[in-house]
Amino acid sequence: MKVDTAVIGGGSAGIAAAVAAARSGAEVLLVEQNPSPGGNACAARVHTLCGLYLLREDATKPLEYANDGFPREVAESLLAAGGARGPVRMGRLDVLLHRPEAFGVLALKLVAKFPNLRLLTRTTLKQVWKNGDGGISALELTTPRGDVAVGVGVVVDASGDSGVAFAAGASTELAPLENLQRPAYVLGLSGVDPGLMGADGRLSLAHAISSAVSQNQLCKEALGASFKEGVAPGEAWMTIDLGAETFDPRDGSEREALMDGASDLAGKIVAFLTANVSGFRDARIQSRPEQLGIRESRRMAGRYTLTGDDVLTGRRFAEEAAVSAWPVELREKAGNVRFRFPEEGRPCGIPADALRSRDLPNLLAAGRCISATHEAHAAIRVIGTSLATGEAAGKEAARLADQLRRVSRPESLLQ
Amino acid sequence: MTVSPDLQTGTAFLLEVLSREILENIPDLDERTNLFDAGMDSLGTMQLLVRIEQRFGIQLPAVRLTRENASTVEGWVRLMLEAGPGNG
Repeated sequence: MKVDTAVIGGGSAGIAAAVAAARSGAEVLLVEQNPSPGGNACAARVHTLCGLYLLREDATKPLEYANDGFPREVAESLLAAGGARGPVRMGRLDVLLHRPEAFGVLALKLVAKFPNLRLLTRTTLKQVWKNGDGGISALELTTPRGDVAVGVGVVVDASGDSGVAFAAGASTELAPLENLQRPAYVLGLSGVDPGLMGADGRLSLAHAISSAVSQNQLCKEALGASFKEGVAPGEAWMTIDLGAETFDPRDGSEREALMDGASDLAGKIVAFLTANVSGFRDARIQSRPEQLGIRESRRMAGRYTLTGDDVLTGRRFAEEAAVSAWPVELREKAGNVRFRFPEEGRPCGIPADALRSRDLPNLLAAGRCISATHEAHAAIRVIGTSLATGEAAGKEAARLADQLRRVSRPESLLQ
Repeated sequence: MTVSPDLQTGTAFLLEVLSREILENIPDLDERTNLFDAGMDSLGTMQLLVRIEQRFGIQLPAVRLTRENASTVEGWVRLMLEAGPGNG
C-alpha cells in the first residue's frame, strides 16, 4: 500500500487532519488503535468541547468561533444531530457540552465520506522506515490481519504521545512525570436531580464528598472528583482527576492499572452519593470510559516551540496554523485546577512551524503532539484547538505530499 | 490538635490556604474578593472544607454552603463562626 498522507491517531486532531487532507485530494490513511475513531472526546468520555470560542469578558459580548472551518463544522454538526448543547458559560469560559457517543458517530460519518480516505482501526504503529535524506519513507503497522507496510509521502502524528516522532528518531519532549497534567477518569450518570448540577448543587456534592473523606468513608483520592451537567436533564458526568504522581502515560500497563483503580474509586463515590445525597438517589452509571483521559504526554519538538508567554500575551505569527483561545489550564495536582488567562483575553497564534518537525521534512504534528512548552500545552491541548491544528496539519500534509510527488516525478511539473 | 477559630485567625488561615494551595496567584486577594471569579471551583471547595476540618475540627453545615454564602473569605469565616467550635 502507498498513500500520500498517513495520519496516526484517530482522535479529534487525527480525524480533522485526515478529513482535511482528503478534501485536498490526497490519498489518506487514518490509523486508530481503538475499535473506532473519536479519541478522548469519545472513548475517554470527555464531554465538553473547549477552545472552540474566543474568550470574552462577559456573557453580553458576542460569541465567536476561534477557528472557523473544521472545529465549527464539528460543533454545528453535533448541535444539528442533537449530540450537543450550548455553548454554555462556565465561569469565564464558553464551552459546548457534547455526547461522547455522538462524537464517535460523527467521526465515523466524516471519515466514511471520502473514497480517498481509508480508516484502519485496531491498528498500531510497529516501525518507521526512513529514506536516505532522513524523511519517513514507510510505516509498518500491526493490524488485526497481521503486519503491513505502507509507503508514505507525509505523516501526521496525531497519536497524542508523539509515537511516530519518537519511533522515527525525531526530537521529542516530555515534562517531568510529576509535573504532567493529571489524567482523568470520566463516568456518565443518568437520573441525577438537575438541581444538583447548578452552582449550589455542586457545592453540596463537594460538601458530601469532603465530609466522607474527613470521616474515612471515602479515600482522599475522591477529592479529585467533580461534576458537570450533561446534554439532557438528568444526565451528568463525574470526572476524577487522578493523583498518581509517577504515572507514565506512555506505558500501556500503567494506564490499565490506573484505569482499574479509578474505576473502583468511581464506583465507591457513586455508591456513597446514591446512599447519602437525596438528589443522587436515583442516579445510575450510564457509561464508563474505554480509556483514561490523558491530558499531557510526549510532544514532538518542532521548528518553533510555543511558550506560555506566547499564550498569555496573545502573540501572533506570520504563518499561523490556527488560533488558541483557551487559558493555560493547570491540573498538575489532583483536586486543584488553576487557570491563567491571556492579557485582555487575546487569542494566541499557533505558528505553522509548531506543527513541523525540527528534524524530519515530512513529519507534522497535530493536537496534543504539537511543539509547545508544558505551560503552552496546557492551553493548546483542548479538543476545540486540536480540531484546528489537526485541520491545518492535514491541509499542510496534502500540500507537502503533492510537492514531494512532483519532485520525485519531475515530468508531472511539465503537465 | 484543633483550635476554635475567631474572626482574625479564621480569615488569616483561609487567605493563606487559598493563596498557597488553591487559587492561582491573585495579587490583591482579600476577605472580600469574589472567590468564584478568582477561579474557585468545586475541587477548591472540597480542599478548603477538608483543611478547615483539619485545622479547626469543624464541619460546615451542608445547607449553609451556598454560592452566596461561600463567595468570599468573609462569608466562609461567618460560616465557620456559626458552626464552631468543635462540632466536628
